[in-house]
Amino acid sequence: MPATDPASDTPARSALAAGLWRCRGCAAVCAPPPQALALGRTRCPRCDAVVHPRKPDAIARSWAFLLAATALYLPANLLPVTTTASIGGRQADTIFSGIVYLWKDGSWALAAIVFIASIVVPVTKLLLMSLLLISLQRQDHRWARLRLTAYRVLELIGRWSMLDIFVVTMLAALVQVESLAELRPGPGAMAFGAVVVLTMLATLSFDPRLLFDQPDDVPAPLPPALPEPAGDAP
Amino acid sequence: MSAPPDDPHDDVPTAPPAPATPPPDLPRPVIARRAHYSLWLVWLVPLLAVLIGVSLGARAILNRGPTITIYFHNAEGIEANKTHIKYKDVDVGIVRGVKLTKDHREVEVTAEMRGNSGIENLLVTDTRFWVVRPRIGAAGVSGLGTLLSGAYIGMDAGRNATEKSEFEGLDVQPAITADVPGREFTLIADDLGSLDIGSPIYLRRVPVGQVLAYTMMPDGRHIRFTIFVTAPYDRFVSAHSRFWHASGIDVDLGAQGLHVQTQSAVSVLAGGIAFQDLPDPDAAPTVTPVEAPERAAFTLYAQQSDALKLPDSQGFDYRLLFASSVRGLAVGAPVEYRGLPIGEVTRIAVDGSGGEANPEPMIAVDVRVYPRRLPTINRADHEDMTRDDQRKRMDPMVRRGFRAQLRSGSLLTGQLYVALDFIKDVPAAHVDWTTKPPTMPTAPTSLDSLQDSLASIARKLDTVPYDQLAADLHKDLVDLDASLKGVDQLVQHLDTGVVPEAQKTLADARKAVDDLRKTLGTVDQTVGPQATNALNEITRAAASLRGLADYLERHPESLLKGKPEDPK
Repeated sequence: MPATDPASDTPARSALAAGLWRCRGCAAVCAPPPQALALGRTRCPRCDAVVHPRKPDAIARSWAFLLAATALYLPANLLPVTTTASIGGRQADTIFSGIVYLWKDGSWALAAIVFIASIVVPVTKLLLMSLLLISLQRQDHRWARLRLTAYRVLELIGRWSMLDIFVVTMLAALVQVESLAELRPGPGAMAFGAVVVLTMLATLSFDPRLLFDQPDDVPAPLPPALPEPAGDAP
Repeated sequence: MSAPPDDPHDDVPTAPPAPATPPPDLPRPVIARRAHYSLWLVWLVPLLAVLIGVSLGARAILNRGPTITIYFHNAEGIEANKTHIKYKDVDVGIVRGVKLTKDHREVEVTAEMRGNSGIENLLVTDTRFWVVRPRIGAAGVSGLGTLLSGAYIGMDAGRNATEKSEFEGLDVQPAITADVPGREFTLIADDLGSLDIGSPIYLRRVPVGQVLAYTMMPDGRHIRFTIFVTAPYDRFVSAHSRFWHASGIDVDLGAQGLHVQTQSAVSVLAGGIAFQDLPDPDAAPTVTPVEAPERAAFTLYAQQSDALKLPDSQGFDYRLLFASSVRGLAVGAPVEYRGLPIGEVTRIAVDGSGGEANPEPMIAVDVRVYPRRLPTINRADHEDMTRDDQRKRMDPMVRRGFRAQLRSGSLLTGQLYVALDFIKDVPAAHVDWTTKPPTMPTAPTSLDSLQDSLASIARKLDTVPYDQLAADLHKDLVDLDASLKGVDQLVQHLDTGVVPEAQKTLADARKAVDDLRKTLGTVDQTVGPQATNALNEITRAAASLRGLADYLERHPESLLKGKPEDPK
């Protein structure tokens, strides 16, 4: 169901459908000539930024980053994030063991925060993103409104996902008492950081305007390389 | 490239109704001549991510190493995910789980060994694990670092090739780890003494090893020690080596006097074992004894004197029946042949075979003699004497008066020992080979025989006819008196008389001397040999008493120590 203008009660029309492109740098609207994309790279006449009708290969790129993030998500959770060396010995903690430790220690609130930031957020991000992409590729417009909500949630939680890495980085910098205690980031921290960065890239590559595109108002200058669902879905 | 049909309600204000032709008043994008990028490049990202993920996972799995299970009696200081396993202080693993076994008797510690640390080949059947805790013992202080860091599990790699994944943890840290060069030996002892794990082993008072472990033998009567002698001293352990408890101070007050034995100040406190080669009397002194093989078993003697006795290759048991008191005789008292130790008393008991035939129960003293223990020159008998050989040898000896006798080893302590000797003028006897062990005839105690001989002297003195002797003597004295009177008269005659009378007087004097000789002859015959013997005895007794008195004056300590053996 396309969004409707409450005043006119007519379905909203996209710029693309009107044959217009909008620069994402300076918001200038330009009217491309026919077959503009086939001629080469198009630039904004005002700010010289690259201008597209839609982000090129948005879904394919999102998929690529998403898959990469998923692939690294396993080691991020299974491998130790921190290695603490003290007189008491050397101890390696994964994200989950840290949460369990906090929980057992009685710091339930802290455990909950870490759990949400480190486990719930990335998993939600990965799941929502894949749902979004699958649904888009299937051109299933029954879930258009739901997709929009999902995208907003995605935007909202995305900024919290680096919490763990911040903590680890700060601890690693602070806890460096020579020969008494030492904290080093483990391989899991690297993987986790990569997961976060990749999910960010995935959301960045995504073009939210695709959410509003109607199947019947596919604009003239559609990118030629828009992947088919069968070819790129994992 | 075809635009969708025009939507009349398009709310984009600048958009013209016909999308196929863009509104002319809008600027057109600048078209730069540049080829499109290839989309496949972006798929390198997930590919790279998968590769990184797989490699990280693979490294983690490879680093994981084998999982082992160790059983401990208690889990003091062991914590899951905290306690590490260290070999030569290198971290080789970490405890993953601590739980009770199903029968609740032990603690099952699951540990994950670090992979790629070369530890896999070291998890073999004789690899040992123990919990390192601070330990303060006589041998020193160890594990102080664990006071701060908490306990860790120590490991000592075995030398076997058979791999294993379940181990019994040791209660205490082994004193010697497998990489210390040296060899293990086994000792069998009657009791533990003051030894403990870690007790030192001394060779000529040089500490050369330690006690590794001890266990009760299955029969419950002996202790089996495992000891470790470090290189290069292990080659001094030979088949002739004798081991003995060098624990504390051994004070031995026996028939041979007072003996005090110590090894070193540490062993006085902590106990220890000493060993030494027993010189083989038959072997040439230049020949070095053959080294004992690894794990060879030795007897651990209670004291040095026991250990350094000559080889007790063959012992023979005999039973001695005494009618006199055995007060002062103890099990272990020496049996000596003419002063040379040849065996010891093994049992003292009352002969229970009494009854009608034997109304006065005898004291049965069982002795064991080791004929080979005697230092022998011109040895004639061969190594393994049979009972018959022994019998062939003993019977003629017993016929010549070979008897067992209780003798006093020291006047002060009253300790007795058993002497085997040829005793003159004893009633004939023989070895009773029918009993088990054979009964050897005994002779009364030397004190008893002294009493007997004194009594016989007294009896002989009693039989002397003192009255008659005195009467004879009196008569003779009267005669002598008369004769002397005659002599007196003669002298008077000489004074007054003349020369011719001297002839007669001389004849009278000769007669008187003859009479006197006769009388003295009588005395000689009547007093007889008895008095002579008695006087001789008394003279000898006086002489030996004087000798004893002189000796005691010079060596008053001999009252305590006995007379020292004559140097040979």
